[in-house]
Amino acid sequence: MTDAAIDLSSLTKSYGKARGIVDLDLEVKTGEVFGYLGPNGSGKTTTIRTLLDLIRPTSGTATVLGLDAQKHALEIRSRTGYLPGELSLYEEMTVQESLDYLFALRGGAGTDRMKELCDQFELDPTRKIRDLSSGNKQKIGVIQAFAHQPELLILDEPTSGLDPLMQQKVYHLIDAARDEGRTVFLSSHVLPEVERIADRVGIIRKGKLIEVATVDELKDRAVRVVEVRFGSEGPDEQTLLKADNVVSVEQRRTTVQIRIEGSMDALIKILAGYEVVAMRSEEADLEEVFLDLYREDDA
Amino acid sequence: MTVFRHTIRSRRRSMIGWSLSLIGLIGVTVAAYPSIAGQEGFSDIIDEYPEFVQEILGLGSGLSINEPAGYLNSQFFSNLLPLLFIIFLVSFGVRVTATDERDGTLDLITAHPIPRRRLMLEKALAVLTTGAFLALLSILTFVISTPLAGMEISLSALWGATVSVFLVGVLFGGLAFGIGAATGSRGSALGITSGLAVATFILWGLAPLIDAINPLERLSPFFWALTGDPILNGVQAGNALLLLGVGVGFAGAGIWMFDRRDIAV
Repeated sequence: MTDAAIDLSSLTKSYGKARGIVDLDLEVKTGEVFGYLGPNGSGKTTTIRTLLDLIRPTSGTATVLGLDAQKHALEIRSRTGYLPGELSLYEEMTVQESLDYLFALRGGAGTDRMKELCDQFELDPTRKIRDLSSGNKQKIGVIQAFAHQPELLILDEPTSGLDPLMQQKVYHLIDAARDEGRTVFLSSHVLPEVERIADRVGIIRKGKLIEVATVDELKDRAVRVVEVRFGSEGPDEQTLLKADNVVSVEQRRTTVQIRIEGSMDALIKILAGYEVVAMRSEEADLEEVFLDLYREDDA
Repeated sequence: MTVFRHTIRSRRRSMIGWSLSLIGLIGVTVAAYPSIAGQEGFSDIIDEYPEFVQEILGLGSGLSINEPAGYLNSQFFSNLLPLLFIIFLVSFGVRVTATDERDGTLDLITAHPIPRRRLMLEKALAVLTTGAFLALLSILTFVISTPLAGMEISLSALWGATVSVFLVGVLFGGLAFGIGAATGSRGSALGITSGLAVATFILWGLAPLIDAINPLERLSPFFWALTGDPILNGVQAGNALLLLGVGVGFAGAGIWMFDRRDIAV
């Protein structure tokens, strides 16, 4: 037994020609929100489906909630909430019938909470699934994943198709789950989302895990753009480039744009010797880190 | 039995259509009997046909189209009714397996805490139950309508003939369900099953004609359904059990394989 909510060891899934996942090692701690990032087709969904025993690994093991994913699939599923990446429901059923069916498969667990969430998400229970927008369908997916308050939430692209207001509601649910000590494993290809809600991220590409780090660690590595306007003559380019972590400098009259990767301390100390009229720093963008990681891997 | 109930409920509307069609079809055909019964010319013509044609028409074993047993056998039990049961059970069997998987609806259900074998078993039982309902409804319609048309035929004959051809449907339905569950491929399930249904029907019709393939008629489910003339002698228990057993065997093998494979997205 480990205290990890998810523990993958050399997990490999091969599909003939198509790529699956290769030799994946990953540990998600109990109680954390883990963002699983990667472009479409990188192996996110394959990993998730292995956790729920929907597909079986070619080699390696997956342990979920301390249990072998294959041998104890049933217990894992009853203690887990799952939101599939592409949610398909029976078109002829109403919202209420769909939810009733899914909750009956859990022996009725979470039915009260389901009603609360329906109100909260403004979901009309009498409508047919086939008449729903993709956003409204996604709400059903979210409700069936969260309502029984599982120990582990496995969410494949949880906010896809939701409008910003509903996205916020999902983020609140995830925050609340974290506050209650539940573990959340969510996949996404949208960086700001992961930045907003995850504690740690794993980045997968072409079936391989290429990075696992906290969001802060990644941000520290991010390239920031600092724009400084000097009152009188500012320092010249060479001086600025000498400061630690400065990547490039672009000067237009009294305004300088400095790209910096990592700590700004050395740069600030140099700037302190000049008359600084205004300074603006753009928030570190994970997108840059993400793209860099991908470029590095290509090189 | 959540999945069982859901599967049956999902077929509600289609069941109403099937029920009304069966009642109408049986009712109208039975009502036409008095006008056929008096025309000896029909049976004279049919008597001229070679024996195998009479067999295919459901008028072997000395059955006459002017009599209730021969009339019903030629109008329903040797052609239309087995075909309808096959269509219903095969299409439903494929729908709850391969179609459910192709539509992606199976994904979320299999991620719920229900064993895969149980899931598929309940679906199979739902298919079998709705099919059996249609069979019982057919028998009931025969029992009510035949006296009104002046036909004298025993309950055991109607029961035997209907159950026998229903079990042909169960065999092919079990095969379609089994292939659908084992492979998730709608095309294979429908293609292989309907191909075999047509081939074994032709085999049953041709085998008595051609000595070389004569023994092969025993490979045809239609042979086992109609041999022993259930329309005269009631249900033939051994043959019925064989058809049921093979159908259940196909479905069971499919469930066994479904439990051991990846679910498609």
